[in-house]
Amino acid sequence: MLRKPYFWGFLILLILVVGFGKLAIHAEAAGSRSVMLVYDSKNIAHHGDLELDRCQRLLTSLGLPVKTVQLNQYQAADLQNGRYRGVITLINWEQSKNRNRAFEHDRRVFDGPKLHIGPGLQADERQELGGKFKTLVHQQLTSHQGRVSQPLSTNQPILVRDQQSDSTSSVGWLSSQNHPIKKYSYGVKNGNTRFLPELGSDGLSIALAGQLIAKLFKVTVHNQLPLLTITGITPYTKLEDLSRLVNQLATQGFPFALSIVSVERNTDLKAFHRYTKVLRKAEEAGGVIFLRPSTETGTQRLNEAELRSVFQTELASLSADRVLPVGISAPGYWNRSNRRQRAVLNSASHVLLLPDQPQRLEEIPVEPEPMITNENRFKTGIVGVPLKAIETVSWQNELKFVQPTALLVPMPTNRDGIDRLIQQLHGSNIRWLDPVKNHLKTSIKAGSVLFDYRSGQYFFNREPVTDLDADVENLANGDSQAEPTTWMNRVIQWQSQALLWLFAGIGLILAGLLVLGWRIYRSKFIHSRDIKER
Amino acid sequence: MKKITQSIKMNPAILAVSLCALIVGWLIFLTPIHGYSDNGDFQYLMATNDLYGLPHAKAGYVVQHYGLMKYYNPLHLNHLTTQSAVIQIAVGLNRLLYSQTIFDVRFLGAVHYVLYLGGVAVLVKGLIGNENRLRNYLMTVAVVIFVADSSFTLYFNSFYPQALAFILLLYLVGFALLIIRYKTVNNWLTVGFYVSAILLLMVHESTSLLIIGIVIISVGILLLPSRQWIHGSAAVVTCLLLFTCWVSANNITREVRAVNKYQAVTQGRLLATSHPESIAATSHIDEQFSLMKGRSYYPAAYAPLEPEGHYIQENFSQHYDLPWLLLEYTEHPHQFSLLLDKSAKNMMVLRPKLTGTREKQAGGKPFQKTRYFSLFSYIAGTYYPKTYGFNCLLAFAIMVIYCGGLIRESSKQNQAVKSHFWLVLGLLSVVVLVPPVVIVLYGTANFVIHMLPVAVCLSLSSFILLSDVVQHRLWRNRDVT
Repeated sequence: MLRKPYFWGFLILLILVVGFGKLAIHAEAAGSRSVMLVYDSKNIAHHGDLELDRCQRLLTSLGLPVKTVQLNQYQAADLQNGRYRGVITLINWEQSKNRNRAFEHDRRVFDGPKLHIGPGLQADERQELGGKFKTLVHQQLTSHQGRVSQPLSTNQPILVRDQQSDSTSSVGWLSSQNHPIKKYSYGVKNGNTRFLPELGSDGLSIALAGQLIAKLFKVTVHNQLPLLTITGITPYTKLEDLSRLVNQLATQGFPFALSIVSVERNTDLKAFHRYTKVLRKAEEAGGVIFLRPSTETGTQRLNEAELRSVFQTELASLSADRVLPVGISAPGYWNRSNRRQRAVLNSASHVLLLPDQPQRLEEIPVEPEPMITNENRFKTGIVGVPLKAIETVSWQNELKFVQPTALLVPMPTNRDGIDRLIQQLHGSNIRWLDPVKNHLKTSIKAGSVLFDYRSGQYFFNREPVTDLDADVENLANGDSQAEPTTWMNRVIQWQSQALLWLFAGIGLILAGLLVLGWRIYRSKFIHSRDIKER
Repeated sequence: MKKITQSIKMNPAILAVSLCALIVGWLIFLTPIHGYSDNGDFQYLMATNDLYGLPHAKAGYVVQHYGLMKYYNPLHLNHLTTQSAVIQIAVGLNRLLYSQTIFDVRFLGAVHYVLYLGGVAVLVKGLIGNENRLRNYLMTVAVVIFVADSSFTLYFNSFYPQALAFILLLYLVGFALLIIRYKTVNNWLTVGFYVSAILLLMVHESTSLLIIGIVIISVGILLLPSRQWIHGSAAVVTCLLLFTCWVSANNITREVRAVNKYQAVTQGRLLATSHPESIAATSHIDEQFSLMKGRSYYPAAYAPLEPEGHYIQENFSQHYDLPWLLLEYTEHPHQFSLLLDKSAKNMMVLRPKLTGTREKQAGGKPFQKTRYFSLFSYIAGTYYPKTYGFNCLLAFAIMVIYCGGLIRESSKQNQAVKSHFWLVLGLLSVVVLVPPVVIVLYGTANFVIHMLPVAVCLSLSSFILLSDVVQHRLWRNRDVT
C-alpha cells in the first residue's frame, strides 16, 4: 500500500515530462512552420505575377517561411491545424472564377491566422470578417495612415469594406476623390481573419500590408529604417559616374548600399581592378555592398553545383581585391527555387530580395516554375521596394516599415541623373538605415571563406580587415603575367613554326628549280629548234 | 585484280553512290536517329518555316519530332534562303505523307539525302570518270571516305545551313569537273554549275563569302575554247553572281547583324590581346567593356548584363564600325595572325561544339558524339597542321605544281590542266582568303560553322590534285592514248 503514492507521483512526473517535451516540440515547430500562400492565377497579362512575388518577398522579410500553392494544385486535407502557421489567399484574377472546393472547405475548418488579399471573398470569409463589402470601380482612391497618404496607382476595380471602423479592427483607410468625406477601411481585421483589398506596388500599401501581416502572425517587430540601395551596378557601368555618386552620397551624409554584379572571367584584366577600386572607395565611404548573382540568360540554366562554383569564384575574385560583400541581393524568383537557395542565398545572413522582372505572355519561360514552391526565410530578409513607389507619398519620413526594407534606386546613367537623385534624397527627408550607426551585423559563408561585417568593420575569416587598400594597389596596377608556357607546349609551338619555315624553304627552292629547269629546257630544245628551223 | 573490277561492271560513280547511300542511310534514318542537336540557332529558322520545338525537348539531344504550325504564322518564310526552300519541300512531303501537326526531321534528312547522293554522283563522275580501272576504284573509296564522313552527314538531320553548303559544294565542283572533262559542249552542265553556285551563295550569309572562289572557277569555265558563245555573256554571269552574293550577304535580320557586330569585337579583337582595354584609346568605347572579352551575344546560361539590352547597345555596339575594326587589325597584325592561327586550328575540327549527335534514350547522356564513320574527320582533325601559314604554303605549293603542269601543257591542245588550274585556284583562294574575312566579320564565334566550307574546299582541291596525279595529267603524257 505504501507504494501507491510513489506510483502516482511517478506517473504524474512521467506525464509532465512527456507533456513538456511535446510542448517544446510544438513551440519549436511554430517557428519553422510555413505559411501557406494560395493564389488563383498568375494573371501575367495584368502583372499579377509581380503581386505574388511581392507578397512572397514581404513574408520572407518578416521571417516567415512560405509554401506557395496554385489553387488548382491544392491537395485536399493539406491545410490542417498545426501543420501550417497560417493561410493566405491571393486572388489575382477574379474573372476566372477559379475555385477549389477542397481548399475552401479546409480553409473554413482551419483555425489559424487567415488573410485574404484581393477580390473574390467567399461567403464564409465575409462572415468571419463581418461588415459589408463593396466593389469600387473607376475611382481614384487614396490610402492613408495617420498623416501619411498616397494615391493608389491601381486602376482595377477594388473590393473594400464599406465603412471605416476604429483602428482596432482596421489598418489604414481609403478615401475616394468622388466622395472626400467617405472613408473605407484598407486592411480589415477581425479575430484571426484579415483582409487586404490589394497588395499593390505603392510604398504605403506595402508598409500597411507589412504591419497587418506582422500582427496577424504575431511576429515581434519594430519600426525599421529603410536602406538606400543603388541597383544595377555592373562592371560595365561608367566608373566616373559611379565614383561621383559614391562621393556625393558620402559627402552629403546619405548612408547607402550598392547592389553589384560581378564577372567570373577576365578578372585579371585592368578593367576589373578599376571596378573594384571604385567599390573599395564606396566601402571606405561607409557604403555596404550586396553581391547580386549574374543575370540568367539564354536557353540553359546552371545546376546547383555550377551556380555555387560561379558564385564562389565571383566572391573570391572580389575579396582578393578587398571588395567584401555584406549580403546577397537577388530577384524574388531566386528564393522560389531550392537549387538557387541552396547554392547562393543560404550562404548569407542578409538577403535583399529585389522585385522580379515582369513576365511576358508571349515569352515561354526557359525554366517553368513548379506549381508549388517553398520560400526560405533568412536571418534577415530585406524586401526591395523601388524608391519610385514612395515618390507620391506625402510625409515620406513618417512612413512606417515594420519589415527590413530597402528602397531601390537604379544607377543613374549620366551626371544629371546623379544630381537629380541627390536633390530628390534631400527633398524626401527620409531617415535612412546607417550600417555603422545602426550596428548592422552580417555574415556570408561561402565554401571555407567567411565574410563578416560589424558596424563598419570588415572581417575576413574572422580576422579584422584594417586597411582595405593595403597591398591591393600594386595588384591593380601590375600587368597580368603571361602564363608560363610548359616545356611540351614550347616544343609543339617550335615544331609547327619550324615546319612552316621548312616548307617555305622547300617551296622557294622548288620554285627556283622550276624556273631553272624551264630555262634549261628552253635553251636546250626550243632555242635549238629555232636554230634548226633557221 | 583487273578481272575482278571488269567483272563488277559497276562504274565508280554508281559504286560511290551506293556506298554512300548505305553508310549515310543507316546513320540518319534508322531510329534512334543521329544528327546534330540544337545549339540555339534553330529557333528563328524553324519559326519562319512553320515549325516549333515540342516542349519536352532537352538540350544536347537530337530531336526527331517537331511541331508543325496549323494556323497563320506571321513569320512564314520571312527570311528566304536556299535552306528555307529545302525545308519547305520537306515540310510539304511531311504534310503529304505523314502528318499535318507533327514534323519528322527525317523528311528533311531524306531531302538532304537525295540531294547529297546526286552531288556525290556528279562529283565522282567529274573527278574519276567512268572507266573501270583499279586505281579509279581506289580513288572512289578515298572519295567515299571523305564525303560519307559522319561529321558532314550528321548535318542532314538538323537545321544547320552547313548541310546544304556541303552538298552544294559537291555539286559545284562536280559540275565544274564534268564541264572540263567533256570535250563536246553540254550546256546543261554549265547551267547546272551556275544554278548550284547561286543556290550555294544563297544558303547562309556566311556562304556568300565563297564568291571569291566561285568567280575564279567561273573564269576558268568561261575561258574554255568550246564556250565561245558564252564570252559575250561572261560579264552578265559574273554580275549575276556578284548580285546574288550581295543579296545573300544582306539577307539577314537586324538581330543577326547585331550578333555579328558584337561578337566580331568580343570574340575577335578583344580575344587576341592581353590588354583589351587598349580599344578605348582608338574609339569611344568605355574601357570597362574590355571585360566583354570572349563573351558571346547569347550567353549559354548567365551574364553580368544581357548583350541585347539597351545599355550595351547604346554604350558599346553603337560606338564602332567595320572600318574601325579593319584599322585596329592593320595596326595590330600580330594579334590578327594569332586569330588566323586560331582559325586554322578550328578549320579541320569539323563537328560543331555544344551539340550532341544522338536522340534521347534511356541512360544516354546529353552532348554525346557518335564515332560512326569518322575516319576522315579524325585524321584531319588530329594530324593536319594547325597554322594559317601552313595553309598558305600548301596552297602555294599546289599552285606551283599546277603552274608547272600548265607550262608543260600549254603547247598542246589539252585544256584539262588549264581548267583544273582555275578550279584549284578558286578553291584555294577560298582556303586562303575566307578565314581573314570571317575573323573580321564574325570574330572567332561559331568558327566550326563558318570554316566548314573552307575545310571542304581544301579537301576537294587535294582530291583534284590526287586525281590529276593518279591519272598522270601533271607529269607524264596522259596514257589514254
